[in-house]
Amino acid sequence: MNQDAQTLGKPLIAAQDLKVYFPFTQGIGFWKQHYTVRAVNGINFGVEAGETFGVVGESGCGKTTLGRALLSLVPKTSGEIFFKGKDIAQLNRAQMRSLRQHMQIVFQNPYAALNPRMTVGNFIGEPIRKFFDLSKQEVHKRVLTLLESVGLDPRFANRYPHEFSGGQRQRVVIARALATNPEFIVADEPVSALDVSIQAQILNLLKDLKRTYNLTLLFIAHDLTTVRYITDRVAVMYLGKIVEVATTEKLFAQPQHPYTQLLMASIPLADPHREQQRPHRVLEGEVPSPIVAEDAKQQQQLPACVFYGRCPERMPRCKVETPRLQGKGSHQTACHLLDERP
Amino acid sequence: MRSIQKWMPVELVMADSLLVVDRLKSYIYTRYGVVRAVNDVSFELAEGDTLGIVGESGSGKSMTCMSILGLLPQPFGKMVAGRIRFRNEDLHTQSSRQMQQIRGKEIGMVFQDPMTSLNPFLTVGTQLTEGYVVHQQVAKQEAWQHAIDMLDKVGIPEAEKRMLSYPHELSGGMRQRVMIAIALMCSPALLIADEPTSALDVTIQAQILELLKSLQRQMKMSIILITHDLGIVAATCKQVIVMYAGRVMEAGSVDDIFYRPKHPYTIGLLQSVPSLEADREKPLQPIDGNPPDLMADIQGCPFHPRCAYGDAACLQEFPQQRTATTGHSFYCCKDVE
Repeated sequence: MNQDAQTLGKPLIAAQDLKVYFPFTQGIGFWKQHYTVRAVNGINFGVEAGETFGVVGESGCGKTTLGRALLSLVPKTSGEIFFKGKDIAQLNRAQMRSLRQHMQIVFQNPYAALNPRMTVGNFIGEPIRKFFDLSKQEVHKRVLTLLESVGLDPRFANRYPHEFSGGQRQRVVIARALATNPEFIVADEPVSALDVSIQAQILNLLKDLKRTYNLTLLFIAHDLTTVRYITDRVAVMYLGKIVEVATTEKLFAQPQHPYTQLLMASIPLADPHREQQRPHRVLEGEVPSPIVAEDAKQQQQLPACVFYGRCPERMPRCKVETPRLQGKGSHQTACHLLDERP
Repeated sequence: MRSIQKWMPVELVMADSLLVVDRLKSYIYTRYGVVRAVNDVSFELAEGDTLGIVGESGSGKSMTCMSILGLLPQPFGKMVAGRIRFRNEDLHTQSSRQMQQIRGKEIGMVFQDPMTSLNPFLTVGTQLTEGYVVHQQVAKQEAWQHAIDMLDKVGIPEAEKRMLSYPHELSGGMRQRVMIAIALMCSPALLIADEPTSALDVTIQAQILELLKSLQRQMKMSIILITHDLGIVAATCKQVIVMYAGRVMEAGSVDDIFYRPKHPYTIGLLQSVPSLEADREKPLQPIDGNPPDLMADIQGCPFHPRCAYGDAACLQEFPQQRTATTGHSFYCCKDVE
């Protein structure tokens, strides 16, 4: 089949039944026990070219692991990842390497992401030198344009990271991610380490860059308000699974999964009157541990629905039958309540 | 404490104020220069009220509270001017031994990071009872019983069993509950909570905020809540002060600050937060630029370089206090709507 026809209308990057487990052991000899952290536990989704796809969830829900697994920065346990319709597990090292040019990542902490011994210009130029055959002057010229496009003074190219504030550092990290002309960028909590007044600057910058460079973004965050501002579609994750996925508009207007609803109710509004009047529904308990003992007996005790333990509307059925993502059109929810509601 | 200047008697001390901070200045003397961490901060806190201190990192909000507690980093931090009155007693003239009597007994503290504030070598029970035995001079058994009640109160299941746990056995939310329980052991009149929920997830944050509110009602204490999240302020506080670069920019009731902000910084802050309801298509209005270097000698208004209304007049001197309505004051020479 023609390659172009195959990729047409297909998502830029997609995951099929993706699982990422981290096995570990505790104890020695007779007492040795095998455990696995089920960070990502069977995820299906696709990101269309040109859209910003958000992944939200609390800490430990596997959102970061999902982002890294998509870029093959952590090995997957099972399932498939397709980039432009091609299974990336089939690629050899050289092919994977050239593919990396098209997929980049922006990390959460700009203080840790920069090399303190490299000038900012050198740092941004590194991937350009690796991937493109350019002369020194050409690389330098490109670094300067990149600095300018992320809103930094090109003269900063000779400075070291410690001379920059958090917001400026994050701009440098973004410039480096853009250096190889990628199509797909994973932004892993790019603003959560920054101050509020700086957060807005970076969010606006990401939105502008997405438009000018025609990027596809996977935006990972725990903060629903920033996700709402920047994304087109959102997936809500809980304990390694997607519990709800919808267009941003729909998800925030009519959240269907009890977890999504409670997550939204937990965010305090920056409006005292409304905040004090609205009903306060607090989600009790905490996210259960994703660590599972590799022991047949214990596995059977796990409830089928990941949210069972904290769900205020749980039913006997939720304990035995795993809910599948279902729903009309693009709004899909993994909850048995959907069947009950007309 | 020799460096504190003599102060003219000030008549603003009101009878019902639990805490009065008057023109507080705390500097930190580093190798590279003087950091003016807290610069001329004044506020009052009535009994049973909640005061929110909002500001970005480096705005001096934590240092203000550390000054109140007498916990400025030693030997570099120094309170160079101002008065702190707690229950009509000057805190800044107390000896360090007297301060030890007040800290933990009359003023409780909850810090940001529950992972590092607890001692990993001691059980939860030991850490809970330690202060209570010292302050109330009771037998260990009595303190132990009281600690179990306290853990129950902060919503920790199986309190008796948890007393014997070590911090690493608890989750982040549970540790923060333990921190709150420790702070409330002696039923303090004032609780200082420095970013109590920033390290926690939103659902846990909601739990902790609800807990603080209900405990405040039960125990009738005042709270100073330090945060950078305007939503938390809207949800919990009655009075708010907005800080920037060590100075108070605006102070007033929550309604004043959220519905009738007067200072360009407050307005900018409110406009730059994405909300659950605002129009998604409209770009956020960030405050341009970066916070100032506190080491540098700042002339005039510290917000001036980032301010849309700034002009030459702002460079002259720090603006005088202006009053919008009773209890609502701001420091800006411009009239901004």
